[in-house]
Amino acid sequence: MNPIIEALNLSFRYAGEERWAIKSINLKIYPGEFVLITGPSGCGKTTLCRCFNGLIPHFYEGELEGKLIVDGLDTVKNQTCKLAQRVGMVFQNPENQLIMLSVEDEIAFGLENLNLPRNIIKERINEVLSILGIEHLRHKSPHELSGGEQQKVAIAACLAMRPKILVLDEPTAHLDPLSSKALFDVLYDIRNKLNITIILVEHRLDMAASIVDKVIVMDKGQIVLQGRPRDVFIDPIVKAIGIGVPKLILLYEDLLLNNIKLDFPPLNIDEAELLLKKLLNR
Amino acid sequence: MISKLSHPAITFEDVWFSYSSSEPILRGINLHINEGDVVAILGENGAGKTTLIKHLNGLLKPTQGNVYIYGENTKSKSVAELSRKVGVIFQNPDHQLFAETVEEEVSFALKNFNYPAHIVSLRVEKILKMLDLWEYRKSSPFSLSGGERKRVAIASILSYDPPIIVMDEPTVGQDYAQKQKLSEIIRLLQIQGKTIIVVTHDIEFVCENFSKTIILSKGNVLAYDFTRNILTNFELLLKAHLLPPQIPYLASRFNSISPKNVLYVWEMRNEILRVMGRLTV
Amino acid sequence: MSLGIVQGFKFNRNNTILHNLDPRAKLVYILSVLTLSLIFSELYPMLILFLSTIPLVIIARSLNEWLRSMKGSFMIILMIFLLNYFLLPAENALSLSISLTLRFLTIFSVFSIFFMTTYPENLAIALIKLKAPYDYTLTFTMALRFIPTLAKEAQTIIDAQRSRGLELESRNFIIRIKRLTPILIPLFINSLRRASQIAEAMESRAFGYSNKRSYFHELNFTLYDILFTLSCIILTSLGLYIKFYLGYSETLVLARPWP
Repeated sequence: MNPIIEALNLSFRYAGEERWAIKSINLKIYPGEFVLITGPSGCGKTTLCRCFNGLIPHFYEGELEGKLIVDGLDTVKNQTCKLAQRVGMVFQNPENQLIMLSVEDEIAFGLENLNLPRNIIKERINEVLSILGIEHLRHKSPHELSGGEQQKVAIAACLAMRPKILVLDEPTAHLDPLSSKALFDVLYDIRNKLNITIILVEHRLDMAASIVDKVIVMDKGQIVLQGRPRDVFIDPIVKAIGIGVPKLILLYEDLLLNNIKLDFPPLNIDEAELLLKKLLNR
Repeated sequence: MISKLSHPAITFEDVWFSYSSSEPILRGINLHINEGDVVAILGENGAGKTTLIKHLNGLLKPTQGNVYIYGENTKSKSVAELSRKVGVIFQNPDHQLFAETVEEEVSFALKNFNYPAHIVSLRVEKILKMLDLWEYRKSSPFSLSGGERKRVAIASILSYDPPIIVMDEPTVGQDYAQKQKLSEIIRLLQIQGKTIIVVTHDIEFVCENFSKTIILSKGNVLAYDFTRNILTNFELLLKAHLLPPQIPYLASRFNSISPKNVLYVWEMRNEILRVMGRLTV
Repeated sequence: MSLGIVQGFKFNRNNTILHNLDPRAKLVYILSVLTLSLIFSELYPMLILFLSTIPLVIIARSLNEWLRSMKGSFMIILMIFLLNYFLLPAENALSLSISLTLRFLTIFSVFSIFFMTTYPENLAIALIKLKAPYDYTLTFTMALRFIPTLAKEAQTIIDAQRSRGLELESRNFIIRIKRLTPILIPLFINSLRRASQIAEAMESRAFGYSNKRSYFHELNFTLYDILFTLSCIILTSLGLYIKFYLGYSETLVLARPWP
């Protein structure tokens, strides 16, 4: 299978800055993967995200080296408006990415930009409102929505354009834990339903760890580790660079230090319960 | 001499609040917070946390009931007067940064409170050094990173050394290392005897840093108790639409382990060892 | 005081005939009333014209807001009346000042009706149908979208700075202006930051993909719109006929007691 995103020695430096925001990034993301990108503040995760839909180098000026191919398109040779049909992007700030006066209009906006006929627009709006379970929000204005609802609308607006890839840059930064959990559940759901590739940038590893296939850890502009969640989180480098490791992993490691080995590092409560019950019944 | 414990620092007496003729946001809040207490206020979005905070320095006055700061009714005081005793650090530093240099930014409050110039420079130096910002004193606050800007906002309130310090959602958008730094600051302030109130929805952060917690839900104080009691009471957390912390929640799935004893990872480990017979209690 | 006036221009989501009329038809209505209010300056016609707007306010179920708005503009109304009363020639000072005040009220009233009953989205589409460039109508819609956000942000900034001891009241005008700096600078910078984020979001949804774009909302001139527009045109023509062809002149003249 060919990767849907391939970065070859990708580096970028913002105009007027000395240090490289990302350096020598090499990665392959395959269709349908749910990828988590994490790392301390300033590690380059947002910069990397901006590369995926061409905001870098077309919106953000600077020096780009290396290559990034997204769904067969070279991001340097293709404008964001073209890449936007393949890559949808959801930003941190829920409010500032909703620009229309109603949810319906917001979802229609991207489709109008693509000059799609009215009946198709109507269809797609109905489709995404149903997928995300927000039909009741159709006529509401952004001010009437909670942060969690706003993010759902942003996701809907992206999905209406039928992208193959959805990128979310810290979508839960401004949300409370309950709304965050709801958002992660929605993402898990749509990945399975639509078989779409999802790239999620997050700090909230406690909740995100169990729903992703692959974790990429970044620090100071470079990828320091990538792999499956269970393998990555127990790697000592993760703690060393100052990432908040999920509590259940910390428990796994603490038990190890006390000569107790669980079968595998648990990523959610259900797994932890299973493993511990097995342990205590021995 | 009046001992510190005889006056609560903050008192809410049956406080109701609503904007003009809409639904009340605060519904009969009764609260006593003593000097030196370090308290977290937990609650979902819309519970009234920010509204409550604004009553502490007079930005809002109760529609009904009274708020007392060190025994004085806030209704008779201006925001500037109350701010001298109650330093409020709001969530978004970008909503307050405006000066040409970090130094100027941090001295803003001191100047507003008419501190003499030599005291201003002393205080500014002290706080900038304490928060690792001294090297940026001549830089523009806008040239700093997000985490640094947050520290400048904190510095600008701590500079005038208010006895009561309030933080509104200080952990939003912060990574692990930044939250550690925040914990250090809170600990330092605690040692100095400050009364600290932090509004947050970060349960894990509350676990690590606060011995007492208030649960706010739909404008009511549902509970004000030791953090351990609150965070292991899942019924209460559910009622307040809050997610329970992972470790005690895991413990609740085992008959032989009581969630109350298990707030931290090391406690869970000990309980597991105990149940396995490898640890003598 | 100033807040009261604003009430009369805020869109309300009632579902009335007026709300469902095409904005273009309502624009024709405004033009008609404007024309009629300018060609007549006599007392009876002005009174009839002003009173004719009230049934429309009632149909739009916006009487409360409209009244509040009228109350809010009381000062201006009084000023217009008094200025004219004292400065016009004495023989018809009273009747003329009343009619001029009524003219102001009538124009105020029809604009109020327009804004209270027109969906902002529909106004944008109407402007496009009237050949306004899309970029401008988008700017208009986005301004409407973000004004409340800006207002909330301004309040947050004011709260934050007051909490640092900033006192906004002062007897000295210059000091009051200087004290606005800590409010205006963050507001300005945040607006720039917001604009950048908005632009990113728009690009990420293919804005600028093609010169041609489709429109989700459609505005069709229905029977009601045609009837409404025709009525306005007929009444205006009637008015013009009465004034200029039949030579209507003042029948009720009220003078000022002193010259």
